[in-house]
Order: sequence, then structure tokens, then C-alpha cells
Amino acid sequence: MRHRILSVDDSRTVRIIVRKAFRAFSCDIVEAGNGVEALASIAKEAPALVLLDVTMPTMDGVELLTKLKSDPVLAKIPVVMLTAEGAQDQVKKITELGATDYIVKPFKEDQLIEKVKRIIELSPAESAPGAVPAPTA
Amino acid sequence: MPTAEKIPESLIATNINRAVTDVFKTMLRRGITSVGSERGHEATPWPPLPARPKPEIPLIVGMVGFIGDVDGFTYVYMDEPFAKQCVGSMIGISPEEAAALSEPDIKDAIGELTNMIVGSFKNGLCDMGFPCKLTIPSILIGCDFSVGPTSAAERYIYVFDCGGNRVVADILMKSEE
Repeated sequence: MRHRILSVDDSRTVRIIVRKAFRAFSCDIVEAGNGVEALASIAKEAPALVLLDVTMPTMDGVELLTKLKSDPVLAKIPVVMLTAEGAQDQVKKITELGATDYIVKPFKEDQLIEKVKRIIELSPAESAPGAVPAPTA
Repeated sequence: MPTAEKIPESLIATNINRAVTDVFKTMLRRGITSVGSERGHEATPWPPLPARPKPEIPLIVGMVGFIGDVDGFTYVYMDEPFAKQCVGSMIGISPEEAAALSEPDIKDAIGELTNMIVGSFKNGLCDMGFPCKLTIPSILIGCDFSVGPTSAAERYIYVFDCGGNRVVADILMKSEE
């Protein structure tokens, strides 16, 4: 199954890093630069998982998380925080709001992939380097 | 409200050294070492930044503030050619591709790099009992400019070396009113 992952970060650089991290897997990365853009994207098509920054203009990650978790349908979408805001109190507060997991920047691609794989199934992309071709009959 | 005088300089030094080292190692896969520091004192409350060997080369400065029980700004200075190398390492492109990056791409990446450094620095302060939040990053680019205080502030300067390239973290923290 090809999953859709929504990467929400006001930094294009972080969105590039996320996109590159998942290029070896069969999934679609869609991007949003703030909470408002993310809500518009989710309204079009719900993702299998949201990667969410905290400090963003227009609508920050805490407000978006609160909106998602207050909606009975959208509340089911797993949200992994990916943010430089990593003080213990803040991690606890945001986790209590309903975040499924929390990654503090700086982060390694392996760590990101590992955490996402714990939540959704990711299969190797067919054209990924080192991918094993499907057996033929 | 706790102010800069209530936070030991050793705590500030430990946190910024850890933050810079972690971010360079994790995001750029580059080693970086502390090579010096200076703080304001009674005789020189506002020490200048160390002189640059090649002042004609443009500087890129990332700025991120922190607001809460302790207020301040951190500026991260590096020369433009090295900043481009850092961005290349960060997003996994060749040095040639990095040299050709557009200014908005450089600004975004250095802003994010600064955001991670200052975030890691302030997370350490938060966990030591000084809760605060980050501001959105901004960037300065130029050859000859200086940063000065608009109100009472303590200045802490930390100098790092990364493969012969200099990185300076300049921390300004609100002092006792």
C-alpha cells in the first residue's frame, strides 16, 4: 500500500530533507508550509501520517495539532512532531495534546524513518537503490 | 523573572557548545570544535566580535530569539562560501550544486540551522528551570555591520572552528533591570 505522508514545516530545507529521507520507500510526500496550508491539504485527501513542526507563521504546530485532535475523524491521523522545541515540559504538554511521537531537531534520517515505520508500514520503492525486485512467476 | 546574571556562564557555555557540536555532527556530518570565548564584564560590557581574517568576504548571520523566563537573541555568524558548503551537506548535494544555490535557499537553510542550534541551546536552559520559547529565524547578509544592544544586555561570544572555517555564536541575554 502506497501511503501519503504530509510534511508540515515552514522551512523548505527541512521539507527537502524529509522528502529525500523517504525516497527509498514507496510513499508520497506532500508538503505544507504552515498549519493553514496543512488543513487545506488534509481536507483534499487525508494523509496516513503528519510530520509536524511547532514554530511556524500563520498557524503553528500546536494549534494545528489541537484542531486535528478535536475533530473525531481527523483525530485518527497519527501526528509525529518534528521540531527544535524539545524542552521536557513542552514535549510532555504536546504529547498530552495527542501527538503520537516526538522527534527533536537536529535529527538523523534513520531516526525519522524508524519512528514513522513504527506507525505506518513502509515498503521499499521499486526503483530504490538496493531494492529487491518482486519475484516473478 | 530570572535574568542573565542568574544563569551561570558555565551553563551557557556548556549548552551552546553542546548545541553547536550536535547540530553540525547530526545535520552536516561535520566535526566542529570550540576555540575560544569571551563575555562582557564591567570594564568591557560589550566586547566586539573577533576580527575576521578576510573581511571582504560576505557574512551570513542567522538570528533566532528566545522569550520566556529568560529573554535573548542568538546570532550565528559564518562566511558565505562556508555557509553554502553547510547547506550542501545539510540537503545532500555536491559542492558545485551548493555554490549555485539561490539566496532564498541559502537563507532558508541557514535559518533552519540556526533554529536547531538555538533550539537545542534554549531546551537546555528550559530543562534547568528557565522556560522559554523560540522566535521565527531571520537572516542578515553583508560584509561590514555590527550588532548592538537596544537595552541592558549581557553578551557571550563563542568561537568555533570547522575544518579551518570559523563559526561564531553571539548570545545576547537580557540583564537585570
